[in-house]
Amino acid sequence: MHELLATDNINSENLEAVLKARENGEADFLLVDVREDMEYEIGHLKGVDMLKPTSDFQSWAQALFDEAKDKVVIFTCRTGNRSGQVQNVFRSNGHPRVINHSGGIVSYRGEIER
Amino acid sequence: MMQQLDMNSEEFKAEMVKTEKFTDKVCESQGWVYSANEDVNEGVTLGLARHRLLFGKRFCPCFMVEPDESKSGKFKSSDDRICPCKPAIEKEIPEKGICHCQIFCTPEHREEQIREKEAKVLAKEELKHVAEEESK
Repeated sequence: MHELLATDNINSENLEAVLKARENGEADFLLVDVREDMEYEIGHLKGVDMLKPTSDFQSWAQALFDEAKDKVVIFTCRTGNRSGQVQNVFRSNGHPRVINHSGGIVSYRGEIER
Repeated sequence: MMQQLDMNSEEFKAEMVKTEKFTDKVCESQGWVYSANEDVNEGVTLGLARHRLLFGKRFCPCFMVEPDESKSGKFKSSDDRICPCKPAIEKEIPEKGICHCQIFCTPEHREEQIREKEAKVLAKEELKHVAEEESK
């Protein structure tokens, strides 16, 4: 399980697995949705810890970086593009454990909350 | 702080109508159809309407929009994607049958999506049936 959290990218199937593991107390990470409010309202992955829209990136990035510098952070969005860009910014600023949900919510077959 | 939009406002609803007409026209002019995933289509349409209201252009909702440093007060998409975007027209749809956002695809791709969906439903029903038989 831990190896899934030691990579730069995680696909939907593996994300579903680590979310289940977290529910059982076997994994620890933050799942951050970087889409916009209205996209989140249509549906989001069950297990998302916080919504941090990229349109507002400047207002939350530093605080999240500081708050989560010792944690594994998985970023997710619709297709994995915006979350990948956020991951790049965090990584280039020295965050050691940021993961991109490749494929995003459109490729996710686990539980979606509305 | 980025301006927030009220999805229930008359302004947003009117923009949604315009955006739906726009995406219909894109399909018609390019010979594309909407994907079989209606949630995805709705999300992308909302995103396009949102960007049109906030930035004046239908920037692709899958990519970040940033201030354009070369033009004061203007914005640009991080991958220069304005719908219908060049990568979708030239590469994604010809090669994969569907655009990155997954709203537009070829009629063949949509058929394939529908077949896959139906196969999944059938498989689910079959599993349910097997489980019911086993529990008897």
